[in-house]
Amino acid sequence: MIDLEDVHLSFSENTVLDGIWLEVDRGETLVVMGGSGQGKSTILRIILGLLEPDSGRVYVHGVNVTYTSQEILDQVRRQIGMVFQGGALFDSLTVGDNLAFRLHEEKGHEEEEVIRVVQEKLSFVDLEPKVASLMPAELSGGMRKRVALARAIMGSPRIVLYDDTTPSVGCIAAQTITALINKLRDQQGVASIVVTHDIGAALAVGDRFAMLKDGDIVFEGTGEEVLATDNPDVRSFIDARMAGA
Amino acid sequence: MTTATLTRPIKTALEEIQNLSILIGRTVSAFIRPPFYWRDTWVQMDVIGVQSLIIVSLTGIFTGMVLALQSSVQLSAFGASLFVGQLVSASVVRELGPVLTALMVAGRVGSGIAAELGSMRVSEQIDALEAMGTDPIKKLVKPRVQAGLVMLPVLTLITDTIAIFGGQLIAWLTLNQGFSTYWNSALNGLFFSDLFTGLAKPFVFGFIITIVACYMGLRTTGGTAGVGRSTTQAVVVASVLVLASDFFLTKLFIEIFGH
Repeated sequence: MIDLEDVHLSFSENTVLDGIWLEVDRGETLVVMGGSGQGKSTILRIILGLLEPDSGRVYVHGVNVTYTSQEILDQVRRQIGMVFQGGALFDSLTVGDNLAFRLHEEKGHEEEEVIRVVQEKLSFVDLEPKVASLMPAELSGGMRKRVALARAIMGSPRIVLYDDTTPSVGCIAAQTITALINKLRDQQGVASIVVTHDIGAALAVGDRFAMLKDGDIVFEGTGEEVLATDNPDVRSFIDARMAGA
Repeated sequence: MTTATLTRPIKTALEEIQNLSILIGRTVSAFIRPPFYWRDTWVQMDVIGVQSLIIVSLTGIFTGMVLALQSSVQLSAFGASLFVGQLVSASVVRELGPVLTALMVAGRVGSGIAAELGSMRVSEQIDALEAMGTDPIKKLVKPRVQAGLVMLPVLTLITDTIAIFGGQLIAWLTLNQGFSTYWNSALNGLFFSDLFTGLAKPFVFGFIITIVACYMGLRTTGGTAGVGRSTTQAVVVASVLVLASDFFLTKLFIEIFGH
């Protein structure tokens, strides 16, 4: 579903991605780990076509998003859900309007249908229907993340990207988010890329793990392999997070 | 001082001009391409137009009053106080109305647009729009520019009218000039070219203010401090461009109409 082939990206003289190869299949959750500023979020932005790599190819549903028209790119984007780090909810719209935004943009949906889908998605992320009338500023951090997740899955996308979704929320809320990510994978076969520097959240959701350092993938493996590896970069990353926790 | 240090500001300025030109090109081409967000345009017409009514009304009345006050003193000395209305209407319609209205709107609306879009940029809301397959230029920039193009001429017309009424008030209080005397003089001072100039200029100013404000907002970086910087830059750049373009437009209209 998603293929990154030899992707390079630099900002001025700072190399962010130095020949990245990644692949994510249907119903699979890939966790991209790494410290701050290692280019984890950049990978998600490249997949969405928000950033253009210097070289390499990025395929989403077989479409090379780096070399395509704006119309096709927009079509590809509509099949991807993205949960941004801070939620990125439109603060001038109510929660209900935030969720309905994608359907309103697509046109052709009856208002009753839009309301029904909004309520369905709110229920999926364990939020009450009355939340639809609240403004984003009235929500707690955990609720914002859940609303952001609900908005991301409004078009029933086959791919969902999570940009550091768990660390800034409370522990119980973080567990709720990780449970929702797994629920989405198990019930709807959604392919996911989860970017995080929270090792606990990573192990709770990941099928495969990739460790990013200095623009390169320095480790790739399963959860068991992450815990058992002698790779010094992975070990120091885990030890630092465990000590921080 | 190295060559790179000297050329960097020039390079930055050229990049800014290039990026603004690209935004202008994409916005103009978006005018004829769907989707059209008419509801957003309507909302922006309210924000830019209706909500600016008080500020432009105050600008208009005091401008007209000051003009009448100054000119009544000067003209009375030559026994030409009958020309107060003519002086007020010509000055306001040709020049002061469009420019002062544009400067007030640049301050009020330009800062608002830059702050709103800047906040959306730093909180990733604009990325979220793009991620959902929505073009931010069509959704955010186009409605604001359309509203600016429509509302600036309307606001200028209101400013002009109120300014001339302000002049009438002073002419009546200081010169004891009657309604018909003042208005005959005021209308005699106006030609078609004045009305055309007075409405064409705000059309251009409306475009400049909204496109500059949108540009400054969309290019915001650096969190809340960046939003503050963008807001200030939007007002300063838009105001300077309004004054500069006013000079060139005046020159152009003088060439066309001959006066």
